[in-house]
Amino acid sequence: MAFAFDVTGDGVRVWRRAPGGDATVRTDREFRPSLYAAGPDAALATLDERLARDPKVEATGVASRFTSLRDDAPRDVLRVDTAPGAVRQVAREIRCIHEPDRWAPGTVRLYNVDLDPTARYCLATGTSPVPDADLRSLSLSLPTAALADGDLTALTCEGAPLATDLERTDAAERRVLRALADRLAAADPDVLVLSSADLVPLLSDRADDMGVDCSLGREPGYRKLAGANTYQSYGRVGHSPARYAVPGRAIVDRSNSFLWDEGGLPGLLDLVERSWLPLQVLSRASIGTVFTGIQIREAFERDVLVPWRAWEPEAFKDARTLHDADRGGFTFEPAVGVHEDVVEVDFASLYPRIMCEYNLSPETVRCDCHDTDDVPGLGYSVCDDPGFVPSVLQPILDDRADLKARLADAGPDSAETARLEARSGALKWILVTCFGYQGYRNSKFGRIECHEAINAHAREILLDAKDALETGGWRVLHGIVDSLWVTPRVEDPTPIEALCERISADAGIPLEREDDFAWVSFVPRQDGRGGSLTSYVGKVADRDEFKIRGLAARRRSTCGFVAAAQRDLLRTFDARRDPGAVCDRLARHVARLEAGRVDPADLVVRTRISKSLDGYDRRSRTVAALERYRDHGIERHPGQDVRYVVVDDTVRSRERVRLAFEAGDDYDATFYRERLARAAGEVLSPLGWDRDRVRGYLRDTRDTTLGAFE
Amino acid sequence: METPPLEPGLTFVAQPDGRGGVAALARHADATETLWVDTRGAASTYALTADADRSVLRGLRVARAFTAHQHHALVRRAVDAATARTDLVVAPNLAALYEAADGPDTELDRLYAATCSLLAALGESTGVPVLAGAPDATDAHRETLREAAAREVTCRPTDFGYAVDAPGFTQSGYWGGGWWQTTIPYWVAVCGAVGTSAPATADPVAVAVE
Amino acid sequence: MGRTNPTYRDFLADYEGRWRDFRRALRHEAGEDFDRLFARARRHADAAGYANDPDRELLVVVSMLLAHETELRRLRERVETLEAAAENDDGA
Repeated sequence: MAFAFDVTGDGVRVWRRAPGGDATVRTDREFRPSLYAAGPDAALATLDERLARDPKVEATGVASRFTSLRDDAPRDVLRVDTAPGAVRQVAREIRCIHEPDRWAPGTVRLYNVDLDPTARYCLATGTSPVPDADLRSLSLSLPTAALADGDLTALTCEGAPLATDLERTDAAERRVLRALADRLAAADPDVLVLSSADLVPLLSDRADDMGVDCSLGREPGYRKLAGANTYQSYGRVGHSPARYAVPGRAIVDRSNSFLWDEGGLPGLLDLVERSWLPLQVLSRASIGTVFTGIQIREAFERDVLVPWRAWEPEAFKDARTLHDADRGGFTFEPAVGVHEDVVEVDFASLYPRIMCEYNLSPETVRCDCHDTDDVPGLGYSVCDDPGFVPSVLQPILDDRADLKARLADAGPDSAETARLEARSGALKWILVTCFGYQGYRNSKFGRIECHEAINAHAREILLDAKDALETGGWRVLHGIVDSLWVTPRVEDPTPIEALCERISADAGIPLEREDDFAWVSFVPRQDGRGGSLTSYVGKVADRDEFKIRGLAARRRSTCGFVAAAQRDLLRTFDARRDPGAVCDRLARHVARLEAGRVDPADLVVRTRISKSLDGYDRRSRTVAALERYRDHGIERHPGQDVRYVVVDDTVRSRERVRLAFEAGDDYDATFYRERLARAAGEVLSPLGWDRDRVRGYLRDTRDTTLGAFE
Repeated sequence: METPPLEPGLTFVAQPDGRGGVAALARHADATETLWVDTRGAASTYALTADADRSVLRGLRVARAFTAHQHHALVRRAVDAATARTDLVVAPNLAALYEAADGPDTELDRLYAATCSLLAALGESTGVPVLAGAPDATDAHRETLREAAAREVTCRPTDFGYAVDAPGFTQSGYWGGGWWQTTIPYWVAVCGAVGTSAPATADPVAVAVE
Repeated sequence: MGRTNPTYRDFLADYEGRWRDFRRALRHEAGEDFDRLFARARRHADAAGYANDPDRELLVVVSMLLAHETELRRLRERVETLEAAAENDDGA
């Protein structure tokens, strides 16, 4: 089966390998990508004539397709077969040259323009990009600093160094390249899992320079598919590194693969099967791109075209309806403080299940064929015809439920368990994202009213659940969109299972008992204004485990030392249930910190940067770190992390920090003490202990306490 | 707030000192049915109901665009959506989405110009007043709208509401430095003394539109 | 795409800010009482957000009144408990 694709000027090269066999390549020179144009007959006829004179267009024809999910019947559209790689150019010329000449903008609508070229090939030709089960992979890693230096001696293969030389010399690097060539020849992998795609040009160019015969691909050479760039998505800045391809092998760039982190190879392959995005494309795709890919595959099956631009606007609606609709999910105000005997119940995959249960899809919500009142509070109609989005989501929901069931049966720590977890993890992300995607401005198949309808159902479901739980003798301590935390309100409440069953039946969506907690602590906001909606910690009953959300120990920027100390304070609180005991413990961590006995590796702070160095005008720690990276010749881009230890927070120069990979063992104890105090505050503030009280306690007890511990 | 009578056709609302002028004019237009082509949340219902009166929303039909292409399609659709009762069309932030990068500049500029002409044609052919603004837009985009419009009105926020400057419009407010100024006694006269509820058509809280 | 209307919780924070001058002129104890007033309004931000009335200031006032009612109930119950205890003491 095929596993790697390469679209070049003279065709699509498809790499296949049968189980146990050698890889073979075939070049499809016949394939012509097609875009579609819809519009008035006269416009299409003229466009057809004009395109006939365009050398990039090889053929045109009439096709019958649905141009929107909302169409009742297919219509005649103009199919334009272009030269390989020319689709976008032809589309741009139609939009900017042919259309303006004769017609108003939007007279001609274009479809199937911005598809990934390899996925387009698979979908159009029915070539499955799903590799066989014995897919072979090989991983290569080079630490960031060595990569920037171009130092090959640190290269590892499957986690083991390729050379034993400590000194960096030409001879040592040559040995590394030869060893790598041997490994590639022996393993003959189909997939290269790289710590960074920049390894491709580095290794190839160095091998050329040194005259070593070492190709990463199954044939010599590599291609640069795209340069590095910075993008913005959901309000967050991201960095997309340069992309490379080598012949005959799919490349997975671990530095640029969210999905690799979440699902590993089994997770990636599961999604290849669903989306028909080839492995190499999928590995670097965002969840939104994968979800779109799955929808595009479904669209191809239904003869629905994929719009190039999001033209379809919402319909005019009464401003009062807009007022009612324009609301998010429901979040309770948390009961700040520590509560004993708490149960968390969750609606599993609430949003995708709402879409499936209530048939919510861009084309079913406010359909033209019904005048019913189907969405609570909004009065929107919902069509009975099976919806597009539900038909995409239902199999994912079913498969994930199946994976979870099999996980429950599989023994712990088995290879099978890891594989199932990886697949389940990847699917979870699709389910988490599919809802937001309905409201995403550039989504190919999204619609704001569908987004609103989902929220409307979600609010009612959560409030109905609250009613049922209260009637059953429980008190709701907190609730966020799809989860509720409850504690008994009366002596002998209705068992939670019975209530879950009743609520599930009423909502049509399973409410599950997620966890029983010995205690849960809802943390107040830092400014003291009410509870933080998303910061809490619970001690799981009968298990040595905390569930932590929004606290320092969970935040990615927190250094290891502070995270570990906060967990330790939580354990202390759990054992003693006494703020004083927590303070004593805190004093011990402070003492260790101030004595200089903390390993600097545990003090590394990680920050995701939003601008490049020149974009900052404040002298922050991030800037100091970026300057040091630059001194090493390493350029960090927006969306990437910087990692450093704070050395002297009183200065504003680059001496303020030390990068994680730089040598040294000093640190600024005052800075980390402040961080520690804040983390301790998250544990102590729900108990009503503010910083003054902690300080006062420590002043009074410190000497004796430390004596007891040291 | 005293506003000039709205005239048929496309009116460009210049807002040299900030946004909200189009919404303020629309609120005080006392239209039977308004079609509102929205971008960037200008149709925040709380801004429109600054006096907390839900009935102000009656007769207001809104659709939101989130991309330039949707915006253009909405303006097109407004032509069909207009009924015999429609007596006002509003398009605040006209250029906003055309200045976000959804496509090549030339394509979006052309789309924007077409949107402006469509609005002008809509006003001319139906005789319905059309209010459009382009705050925060590039000079070029503002000029395109100005050229398409039949007339121009300038709307500036003051501490006491919006000051409107339109050709042939005589205000009963006070003039200062060429701009309309209002006084507390003026607002007391219009709204009644402090503590009585202000009628929807004369609400000094129009500043809250921002 | 983002929502068109700001959330009620955002509004409440903003609305409290609008009383800044009022708060500044209060004496210490009254200042703390004032803060509590808004803290209690926040406690019902969930219900107020769901109610979605265009008159958000009224929602704030009703939230405060409701918190007031809750406090009255607590105090009433406390008084009853203390009265009962006192009666028992008398009886003993």
